[in-house]
Amino acid sequence: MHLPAPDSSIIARRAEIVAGLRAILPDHVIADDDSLGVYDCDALTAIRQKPLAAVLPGNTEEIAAVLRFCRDHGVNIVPRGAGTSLSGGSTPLGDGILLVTARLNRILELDYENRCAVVQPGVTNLSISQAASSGGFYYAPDPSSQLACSIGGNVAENAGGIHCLKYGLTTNNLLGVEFVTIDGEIVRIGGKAGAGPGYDLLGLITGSEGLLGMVTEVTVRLLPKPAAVRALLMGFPSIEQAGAAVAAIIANGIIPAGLELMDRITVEAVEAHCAPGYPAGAEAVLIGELDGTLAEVDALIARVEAIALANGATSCRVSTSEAERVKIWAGRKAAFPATGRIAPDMLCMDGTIPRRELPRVLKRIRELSAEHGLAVANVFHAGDGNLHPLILYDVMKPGDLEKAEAFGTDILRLCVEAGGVLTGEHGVGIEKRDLMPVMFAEEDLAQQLRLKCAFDPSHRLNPGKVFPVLHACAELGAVHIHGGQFAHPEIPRL
Amino acid sequence: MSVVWVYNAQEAANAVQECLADGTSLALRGRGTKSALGRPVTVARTLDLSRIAGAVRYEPDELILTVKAGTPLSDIEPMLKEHRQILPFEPPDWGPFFGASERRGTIGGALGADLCGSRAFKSGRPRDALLGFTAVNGFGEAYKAGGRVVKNVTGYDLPKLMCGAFGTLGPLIEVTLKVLPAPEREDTIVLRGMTAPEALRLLRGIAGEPLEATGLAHLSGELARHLEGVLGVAEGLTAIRFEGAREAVEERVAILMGRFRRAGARKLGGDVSHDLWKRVGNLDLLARESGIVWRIVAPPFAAPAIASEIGPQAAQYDWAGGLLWLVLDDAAHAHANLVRTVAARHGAQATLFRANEAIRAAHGVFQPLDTTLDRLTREVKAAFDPKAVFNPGRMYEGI
Repeated sequence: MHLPAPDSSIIARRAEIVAGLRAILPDHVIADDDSLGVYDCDALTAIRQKPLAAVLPGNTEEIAAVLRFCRDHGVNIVPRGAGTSLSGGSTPLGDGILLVTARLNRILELDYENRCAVVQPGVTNLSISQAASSGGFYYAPDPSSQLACSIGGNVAENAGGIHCLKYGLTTNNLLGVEFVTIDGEIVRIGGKAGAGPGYDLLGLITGSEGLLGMVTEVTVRLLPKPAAVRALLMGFPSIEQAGAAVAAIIANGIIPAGLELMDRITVEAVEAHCAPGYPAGAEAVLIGELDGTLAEVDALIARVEAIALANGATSCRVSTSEAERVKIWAGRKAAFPATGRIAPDMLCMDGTIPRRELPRVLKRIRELSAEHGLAVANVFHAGDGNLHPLILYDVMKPGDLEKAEAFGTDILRLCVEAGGVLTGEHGVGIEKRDLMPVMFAEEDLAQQLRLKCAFDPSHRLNPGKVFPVLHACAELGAVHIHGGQFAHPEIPRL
Repeated sequence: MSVVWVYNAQEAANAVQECLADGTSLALRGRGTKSALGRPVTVARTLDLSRIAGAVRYEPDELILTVKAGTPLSDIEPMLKEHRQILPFEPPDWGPFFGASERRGTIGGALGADLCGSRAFKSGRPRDALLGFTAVNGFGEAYKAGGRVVKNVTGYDLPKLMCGAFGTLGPLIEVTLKVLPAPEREDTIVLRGMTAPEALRLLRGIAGEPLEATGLAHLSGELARHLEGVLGVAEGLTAIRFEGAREAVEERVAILMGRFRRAGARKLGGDVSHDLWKRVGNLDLLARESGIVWRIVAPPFAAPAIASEIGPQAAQYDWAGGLLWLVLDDAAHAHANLVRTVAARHGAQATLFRANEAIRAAHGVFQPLDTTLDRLTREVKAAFDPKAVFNPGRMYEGI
């Protein structure tokens, strides 16, 4: 993982750039070195770099003015919501400004008749559900950082979460956005009627990692809160059996609201951390959540329980109260901090694999763990095959970070080789940028880059993220791209 | 008018290369069941994709299906049925509505035309089911995008763009779709005699309750009368469908039947329910009405106002008001100004769904784009197809 070398000609103009930005936003440009310290990284903490300046606009027109200024003055832009990206989606650039949505934090409208909410991008994910709660509604995607992460960041990264097994990712729960192009044009796509008209640009913007435009308003779909929600806690003597239970549940036509698997290292770490009462001695713990109407949930819980026992579950506990359900989830939700107690640093991977490959992939991850000499804990959105190996390392030990990165690369290559993908919900960012050719051929990447060029031909928006090779847009015309011809040879490669 | 039949991606790419060489364009065709949808495409050569057909890989346990894009839905659905699975977006068969024969449409056509049924407001449109694809672009290159797993955020989400693009970004060659378990049970509750505003208020209310209804439709009396004999109705018909596990459906039906008993609610079981929703999805009742047909996707709350401002002869409402089908009298102007102005005022998108070729050519089909969206749309088109090889003008002039 490397940042592009900053363009010294931009840095040399820093005072002039800051003055220009202050002419647009007199009170909301942060440029002193101390204050910029809090903006030197996102949740991919292994990479730190202070931005040229942090800019905090208060409305769409100010964002448009800032983007126009950056385009005219050749300044790079990194959009940032709450800075919770695990893939470096908002890792600052030394030659770019951070465009921060923190002040755009209002819920503009809760429209229950149309079952949607209109919000500004800096609103946190969880606060939408909290605000809609009294109306009987919620917003389904629930990334584990939902207390902090912003909906603008969720749109940029197409964030997932536990509930996306049944309810889909961010992209399946959006109705419209307003965004600003690098030219400062304000564009509205979709709205309360959903995506359209014309091409589904809403689907394209979602998950584009801040490379196509700056999202300034979001219309999300609200769902009625289910009448009943219950969780099951199941212990298995092996990961393989837990995996077989997951396959059997799905094969029986049941799509739970969530289906989460943890391996023994993780279970022991969370037990030590917050004692959620997970079965002692289990090699794998599976949590299932069913939601719906009362009799439905009871019936489905009974079916899932029977499937688990038939697949070798040694324990099965069903929540009988909301407090018990919350307690069952507490351990899973604390998996990252709990693992943090057994090692000073960790790298959270995010590949997706076909579910049936789970036993083989986990076995190979254990072997890789021995080869690289680093421990790994596995947390798994088992229902949709999204694997989160947590690689444990110590940044103070020389060479450990490099080993962790090499281990992570091996895991992601393994996921692609198993028929899966590099990232299920965290995004490519800087972290997986150089691995894109593992999954995509040159012509595949060229087609994606042509879209980048359609929106941002000068590559000002979040440069250095997602794409391993920056081509000048003219190159992507009818001419084929030839391997190894980098338009920007100064950028370090894997 | 010549036709080029291609059997694989390479041959499709070659056909594009030929067009690039001689500066010509292609009309893309699966089995031609929806050629009357969209603006007329007037080019000399047709690229027939129906030979690129067949299942590639079906993994029922993974809920994933990969097929060649020219595979007819009538081949896909029985294959899924064998494993008690379905396509989430409930693709209707619009063939007969457009005067083509039944059950011929391809999956590629269904995705390209954003074909979706009554369940789509709940379980998503084609855009929500297409996980990955291979296609040929206007540079004459085959490429792939997306993946073969449900959860994937690697790179731009090109599958979304291809859905509803009417082939203007190039032909899909192979598609990977998310499938769902087929519901174990289906029941529908029907109510009679409500006006559209009354019915839509009721349906919106149910959509906002945790009952997970998968069909919320209302037919005006003019359409419902065609069901006479089947359901014995000659007035407005309101239908609420539940699908899922047996216990779930029984419980939800019981909740609503208790509420509506005095209003004369009737329960339709399995086959009758299935038949009713098939007729709704396939536009079977609308097909029997003459006149111009508009399809309007709207914020649900706006549906009654949109209908009353347009004043249709007959109307079918789906998605609790989020989807309107309006029949208007045959007029050369297609009421286009009225419909589009009303739609725009309510944040809705109107499509001129049925009108003769001359009217579609003169007035366009899709909701007009504003200036910035128009520019971006042209840029996106050019990123895939700079020489306008594919279906020129099918969506908008030049697109």
